[in-house]
Amino acid sequence: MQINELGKSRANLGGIGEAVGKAKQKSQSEIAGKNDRNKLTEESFQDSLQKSMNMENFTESGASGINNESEWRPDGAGRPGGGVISRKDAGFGKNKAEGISIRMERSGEPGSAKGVEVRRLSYSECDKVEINVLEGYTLKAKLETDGEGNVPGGCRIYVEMKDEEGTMKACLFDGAGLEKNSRDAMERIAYAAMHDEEEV
Amino acid sequence: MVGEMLINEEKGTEEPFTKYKDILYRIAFSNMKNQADAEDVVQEAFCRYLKTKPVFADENHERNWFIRVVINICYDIQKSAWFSRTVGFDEVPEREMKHFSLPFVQEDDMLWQVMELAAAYSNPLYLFYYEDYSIREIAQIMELEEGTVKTRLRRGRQMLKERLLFGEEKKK
Repeated sequence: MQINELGKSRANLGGIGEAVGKAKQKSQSEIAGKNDRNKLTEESFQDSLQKSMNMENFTESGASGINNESEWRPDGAGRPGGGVISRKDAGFGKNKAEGISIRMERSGEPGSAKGVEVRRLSYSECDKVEINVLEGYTLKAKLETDGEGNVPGGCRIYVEMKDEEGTMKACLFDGAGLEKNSRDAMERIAYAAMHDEEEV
Repeated sequence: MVGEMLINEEKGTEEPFTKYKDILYRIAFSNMKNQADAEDVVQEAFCRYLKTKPVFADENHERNWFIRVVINICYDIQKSAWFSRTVGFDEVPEREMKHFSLPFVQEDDMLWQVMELAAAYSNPLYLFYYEDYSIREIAQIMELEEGTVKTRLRRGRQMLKERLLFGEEKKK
């Protein structure tokens, strides 16, 4: 008796499943149409936003032409808000329309880093060196003297990191957006290098 | 003529001495843990250079040769009967610490902890972190596989952590 009831319920379930399947097919086609409409409204919104941003760029003379190459922040996940934060996220790449939506979400994030080619600096060439044997890394920081120079809050700092496997990575920090107590060791040494220089 | 040759020979010896004496002294000190022995080791390295007069492909080759010779001399001394009969330093004595300085790096307690490890671990750790050598260069200097250097770095760090946690290195 119980077995029969179980069989019935299974049969019902199968029927329901079929019905759901049909409903799914139908709703997917409807959703596709809705998505197209949504896309159109999003695009028009982005267009208008882009125009207004272009107007801003036109009026602002100091907008820097940072390219749209992939940018990253090592260990950035530890920071509140987490994830990868780029220069354009922090509001630097203003003349690029692609980053608009990202910039809107994270314009308040402090600090900025751009992944660059490793220069393999020696310790003697660096302004600051940090060795952490227990954590297994070394950090080298050098202030960039070209470009904006050593203007406080306006300089750039090149930071190179060597991990325990000997893998090296480097990034360029913008002095304006650095945090003293950042969870990112690279950002911390960039900050320290910049402020040591100012003290000297 | 002979005088000129002698001068040239002296210049030839003087140049590598001027270039490498500091780094060689630091590496010797990190092994011997005192100034007198470290100076003896450096002197012996240059004596060997004068005796063998090796030909080097480039400056890196030359520098790596000197470092390898210094490390080997340190190993030889540490293995010698005299050294085993006398009291060697496990720790770097405080009075000796003032005879050691790194040119571009701020010294910390971890440096002395690294020196207290067995030479098989302290040399790769010291060269990798404090002299900024790559794993490949360390492998060439110590005539080891790169994988072995990585393992020694990892184990060395592990030993340091254990020393800090438990106050004493686990003897393996």
